Amino acid sequence: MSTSSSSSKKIVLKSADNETFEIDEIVALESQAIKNMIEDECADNVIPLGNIDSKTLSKIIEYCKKHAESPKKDDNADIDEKAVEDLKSFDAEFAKVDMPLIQDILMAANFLNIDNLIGLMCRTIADRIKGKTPEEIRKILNINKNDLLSPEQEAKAREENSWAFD
Amino acid sequence: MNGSMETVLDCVLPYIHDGDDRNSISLVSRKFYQLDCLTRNHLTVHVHYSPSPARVSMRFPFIESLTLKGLPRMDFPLISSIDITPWIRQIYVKFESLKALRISGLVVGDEDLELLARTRGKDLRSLKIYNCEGFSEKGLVHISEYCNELRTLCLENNKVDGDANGEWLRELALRNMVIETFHFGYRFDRYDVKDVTLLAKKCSNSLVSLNISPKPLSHIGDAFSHAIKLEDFDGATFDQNGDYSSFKFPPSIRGLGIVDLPVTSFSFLLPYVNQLRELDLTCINVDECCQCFLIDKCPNLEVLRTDDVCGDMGLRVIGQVCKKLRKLTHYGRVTHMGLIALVQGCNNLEYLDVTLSDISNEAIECIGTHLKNLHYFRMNFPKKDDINDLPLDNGIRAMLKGCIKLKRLHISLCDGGLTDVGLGYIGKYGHNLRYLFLSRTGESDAGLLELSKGCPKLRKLNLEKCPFSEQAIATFVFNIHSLRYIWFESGYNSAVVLTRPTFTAKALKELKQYATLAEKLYRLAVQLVADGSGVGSVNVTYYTSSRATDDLEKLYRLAIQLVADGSGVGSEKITYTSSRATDDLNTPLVNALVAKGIRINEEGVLLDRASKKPLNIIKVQIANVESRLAVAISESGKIEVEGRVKDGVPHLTKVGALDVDVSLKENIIVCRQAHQPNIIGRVGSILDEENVNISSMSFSRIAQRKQAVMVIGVDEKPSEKALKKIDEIPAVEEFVFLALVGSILDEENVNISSMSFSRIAQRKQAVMVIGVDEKPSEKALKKIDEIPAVEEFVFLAL
Repeated sequence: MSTSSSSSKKIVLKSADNETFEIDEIVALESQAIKNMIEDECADNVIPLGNIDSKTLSKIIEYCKKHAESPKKDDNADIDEKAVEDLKSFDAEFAKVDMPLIQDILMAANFLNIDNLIGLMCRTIADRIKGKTPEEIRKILNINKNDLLSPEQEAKAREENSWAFD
Repeated sequence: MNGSMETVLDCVLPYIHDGDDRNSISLVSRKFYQLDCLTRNHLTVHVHYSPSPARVSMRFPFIESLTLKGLPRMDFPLISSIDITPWIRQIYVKFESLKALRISGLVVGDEDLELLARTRGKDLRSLKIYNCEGFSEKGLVHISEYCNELRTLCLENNKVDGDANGEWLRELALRNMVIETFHFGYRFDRYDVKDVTLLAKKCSNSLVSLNISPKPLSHIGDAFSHAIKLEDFDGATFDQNGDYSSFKFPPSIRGLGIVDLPVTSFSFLLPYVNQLRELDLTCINVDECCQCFLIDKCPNLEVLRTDDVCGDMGLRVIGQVCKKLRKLTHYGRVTHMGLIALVQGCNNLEYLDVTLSDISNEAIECIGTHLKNLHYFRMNFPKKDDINDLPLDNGIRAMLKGCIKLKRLHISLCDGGLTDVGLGYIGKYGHNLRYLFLSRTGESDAGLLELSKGCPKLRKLNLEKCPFSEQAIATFVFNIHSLRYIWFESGYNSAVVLTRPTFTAKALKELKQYATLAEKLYRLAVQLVADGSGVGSVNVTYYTSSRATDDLEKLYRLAIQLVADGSGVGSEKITYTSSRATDDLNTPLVNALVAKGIRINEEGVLLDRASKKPLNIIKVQIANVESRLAVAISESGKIEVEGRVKDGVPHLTKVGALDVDVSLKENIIVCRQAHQPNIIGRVGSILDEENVNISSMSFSRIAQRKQAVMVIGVDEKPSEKALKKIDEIPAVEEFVFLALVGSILDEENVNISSMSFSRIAQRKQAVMVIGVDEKPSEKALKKIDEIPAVEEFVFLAL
């Protein structure tokens, strides 16, 4: 679908807080969900995204722009190594945001079905909780105190974990 | 927000595979726990510690890959092994998604393999059995017959019963058409190489990795001609006179293991050197030779096992050429010089196993500087020849500071190689160590104490020829709460301890008292043996209370045994510890003791189900010996002492047939005398003259004989003169002093304000001992004496 003829076409996304973002269609096509909508011709040129706020949406657009501009791996046999490196460092920078925003982006990416972004956010969250204690993970992910295991359940699980399971 | 967290978790969990991380996640919240239960794919279960198989299948119903681990026999020999049968039965009925099973360090019977094969054979894609025993070729035939979808079958380092003649292999070759990885190693040396050829032919589109018990390389040519996808092969000996006219390695070969490849035949490998990633050049029958000529031509090596004799020269070659090397096992003798050249060149090393003839702190420090990915390091150091740079404390510290990923450390040193300070460094900087093997390291128990203050993730500790007392090991190792297995070996006495998960601080505190009790009873019993009679047989009876606390009782027993072992009284040492000894008292270790001429019988007697204490009474009996004290011989003709823990303090409750009650704090005087009223006073004042504190005392009468036995706990050892004086009191018929502590405590102002009360059951009498701070008036004493029920009464001035 990423042909040059469609690249000039614009798509408008509307966030939950009613902010609109006009983007090139090719950028919007990074989202499998939007791509399906366009293909099924069920999208006007304004697509309302009632569960994504503008802050999150602008981050996602930033990501999609960059990735839409980059040469696709399967397009070209000899991939431009520099472009791959460039994209990698973009991703690394992109992920340097606080945990609530990462979670929002992941939720939105999940809704919009943007595979690469889901992967990036998951890896980021996973990296942040790897090697951490349960207490630290609770803090990182801001877990509600009411959701904790009962002390007995926790003690039992802890004992099993520390001795029997790897 | 809760719903979104669930979605987030659903997405993120597949990215977290490490068991430790999964364990942490399961504790975060209820939702996390549930999601972890449902999504965990792989689980490693330590069978010694595991809850029941049913519990595991309930918590993780959908695991696809299961590893069952017993104790690695190589690291922990002489341990009674655990039978896998309950697990196989559970796999039969649950774990419906299971596709991969790995078993190590367990007893696997033919019936287990048969049940597994018949019921789940079709589901299994991968089966690995390592370091196990108990099965024969018969069991494997079932695997070959039913597990036709296996992509991976690995059977290495098992102890196989009976003779295998290769039937299982023939069966596998006939039935399997999809295998990718097939390893069976040295133990199955009897097989027909034609079956391997047949397997290679039928699985020519799948077979990628083959590791077989070595056959002449020329005979494997046929298999190679079929196995067009084969990348890794190990298991050939080089037969120089073989027919190699049409021999070719598979085109994509990248890993090769050939035993006894002579230097003259290296040219044979030359066409493949650029594609080789792994090379194993072990020498068994031919002399080790210079292998660096070949290594020099293999720039892409990642894994290398070599017997190279060129020493440091060879390491320099490796360092210059093999920039991608990740694993190196080097059996040739090398020194610090070569080591430095190697680590400077091969920064990607993750696994390093070297045998050293000389070493320096600088070289070890260099490892820390360059090998940031090192997770396994073994240095074997056979002799202390001309090494100037000992101890290696600072080098080890720098290495551990640098190699933060190090998980396994194996140090075999010579005396003086690592001091207590060095052990302290291992504790302090070994943050990620899981397995630690130390041979000839440290100077004293203090070093072990320092070590045990750190290593927060240590799971296995293996100590060999280290100067630590077993007592210290029993005490200090409990400081490392993650420790699963301890193996300690010194001289002839070996002990294995398996720590248990129930080591809460409270249990430990309680435990220590039982441990002390066992130790002291044992010391007492051994000292009661008359000079000249050796200990032939020791009976230890544990009167336990409730089956519900079965596990706790095991724990107690283990520690008790460990400590009892360490008491070191006399030349005879009773050495016995084992993992699940309570399940089976007839353990290999006990058998080993029998072979040494010492019989130890242990039994558990269930006393009272209601009691919450896991252990009530410990009884030690020594049979067939003379005793220094006739009353210590029970009605059954054995030396017998019995004790229990009361209010947290170990007490001696029985000597021979006599009920007594003395706290086992310091030392004990046991004295049998004619029943005379003033005898206690005389003994008391002799001790008083010596300034020996009496900490507790018990007095019981042997009714029929008009004799009495007095047991006195004293803080210090009275002088020989005083002991002689007591012995010379005409009424005293027998008398022994029993030391319970090695050193004399100098507690000067011990307040005697205890009270002990013991009942002489059959005789409906009781003995009461009251400690008082000041002497009561004569009048008060007279009053007590006049109480009608009081038969005997004495006041001891201290």
